[in-house]
Amino acid sequence: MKIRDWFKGIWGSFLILILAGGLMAGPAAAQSKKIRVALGNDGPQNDMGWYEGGYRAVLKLKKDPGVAEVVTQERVGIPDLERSLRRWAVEGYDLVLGHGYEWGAPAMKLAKEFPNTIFGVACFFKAEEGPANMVNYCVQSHETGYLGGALAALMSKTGKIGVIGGFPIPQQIADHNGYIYGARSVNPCIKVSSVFINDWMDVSKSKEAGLALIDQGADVIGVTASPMGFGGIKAAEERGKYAIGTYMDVSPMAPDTVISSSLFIWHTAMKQVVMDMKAGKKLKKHYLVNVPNGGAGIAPFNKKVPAAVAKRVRSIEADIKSGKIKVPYTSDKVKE
Amino acid sequence: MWLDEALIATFLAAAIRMATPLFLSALGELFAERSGVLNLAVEGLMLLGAFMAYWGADQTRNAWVGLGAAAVVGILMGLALGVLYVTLRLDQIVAGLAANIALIGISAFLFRLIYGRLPFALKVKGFTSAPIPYLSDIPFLGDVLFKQNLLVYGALLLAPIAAFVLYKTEFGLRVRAAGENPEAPDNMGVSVPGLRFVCLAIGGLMASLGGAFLTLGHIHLFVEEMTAGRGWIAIACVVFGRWDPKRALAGALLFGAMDALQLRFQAAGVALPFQILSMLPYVATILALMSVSRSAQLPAALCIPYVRGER
Repeated sequence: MKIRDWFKGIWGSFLILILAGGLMAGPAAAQSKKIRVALGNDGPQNDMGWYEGGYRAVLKLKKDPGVAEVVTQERVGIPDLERSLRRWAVEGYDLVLGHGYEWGAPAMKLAKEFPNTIFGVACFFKAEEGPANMVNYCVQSHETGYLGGALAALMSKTGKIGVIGGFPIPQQIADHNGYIYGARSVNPCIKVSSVFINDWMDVSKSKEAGLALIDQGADVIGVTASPMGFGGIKAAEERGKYAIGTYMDVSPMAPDTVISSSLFIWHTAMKQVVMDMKAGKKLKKHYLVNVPNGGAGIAPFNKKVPAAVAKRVRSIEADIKSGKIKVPYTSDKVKE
Repeated sequence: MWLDEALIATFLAAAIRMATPLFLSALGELFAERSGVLNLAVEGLMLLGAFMAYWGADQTRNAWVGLGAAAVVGILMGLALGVLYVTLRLDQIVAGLAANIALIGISAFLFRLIYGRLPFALKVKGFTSAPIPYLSDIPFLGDVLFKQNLLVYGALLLAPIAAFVLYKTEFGLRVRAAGENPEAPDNMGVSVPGLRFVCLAIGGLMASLGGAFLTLGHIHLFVEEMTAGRGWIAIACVVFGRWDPKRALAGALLFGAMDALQLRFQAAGVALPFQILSMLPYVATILALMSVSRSAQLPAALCIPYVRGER
């Protein structure tokens, strides 16, 4: 009997707590107009690449006016994506972000269930097919890919360049295609090989991919994902070739090898979503980080890049910025 | 293009490089399974080994110290797993999976604790290509075999050594007996838990060295989750090799070769969808397992904790 009473006591206090919590939290959430943001990463948020880019962007978002709170969770397993999103939706976060294509399908499902929560998924263009509270925020990496490809083709002596990607998701394929278009724009005869290693973290395999490309005559290696891409850079460094990094300026890693990197400021798109939410505007479907809006670009060049080449690539960048060059977004692999 | 001798040599050299971490880990797992313990935490052990090697080499600027750190931690972790599998007699599959997750987490935790604030990944001094004098001058064969780094030579030499230990020594006989019929060594007055502890220590050591190969012998960097499933492939290599060291080496080489081949096909722009190319190593593994599994004889006492006097 004693134990049973004890359990009753616990049960009772639980109920009281829940009721009290609900009464207090309910009106408070309704009154607050500041936006609460949650960001989920399905990988480590210190990867010096994609995940860290998202993580740093929400940290910056935290300081913006109108943002009350930012929570992040990293290393969410693929089977747990929906659970994470659901938890944030239930807890009343206004803007729930999933930093990667993988978050798209569960977010679409939950967007219907929680019409008052805005769901944003990185580089998930299918958001168009979802309800109004489903948005895509994405880096236009095909534009920086175009710049990287042009730089690589101008720096190549063998007439063959390579590019290594992680998983062949649309964003990655578009990036590779941009690289190919950019290379061909400056040298129509250039040979571009694109390799996918089917992993985001496997630096070792990416190094082998780089070595395979170099063995076949490539002398500039671009990488389109991180940290996987460090392997490709390492391969180029070992064989005395050039490499182009991505997501951050990775030249400190291999100062004699990395000739430039694609740069993205994810905050550009996230801030725009928050501003539209604050203003009560109808949300757009796609919030982009690209060269024209200043969110994307190519890092300062290595001193090994001749001034004429640097000038040419910067002028291409300026042309993309002004809209003179429109880099096509294609998510089917173009023929090599 | 594919008949170019130099390209074939670089392909085979890559196959051996890519097989080495698989083979090192598979060899340790083979001893553990031969003694009757299925250790599923290979992936985690590899990652922790990779990190310890990186840390040791970074702290002292000496790759050998890194290798030593990985070895010591590998042995300790193997013994710790022994407490779960042998002393506490936990379900080996459940305990192994749990330990695997824990080890992956520990490696990431330590990495962030020590290196988390660095803006960029730090390269360490590792093992670089060490051509063997004279032998490396042999055309073709020299390029394939004798321009690798020291860890690769070591791993290749371990295959016959492990086979000798397993089949020709008293210790090997006892290990095999502990996995087939643990009553037999027990009746002889040989401690079955003791044997299994030793084999788990070997398993921890080898998996740790397999991970260390990745950081010290290949990429000279540490990235969280960089083993990317190699621990599981190593376990498959053991089954593929029917619990025999030399055949496990063949399995690792087959997988390494398929992976090296698909990367070269992609780089050469072979007109096949790259999804199919990426599938190659795994399809090869499944096909190989299908062909050998008919005659596969797993150790009879695998996964069964030994309790004296219990039937």
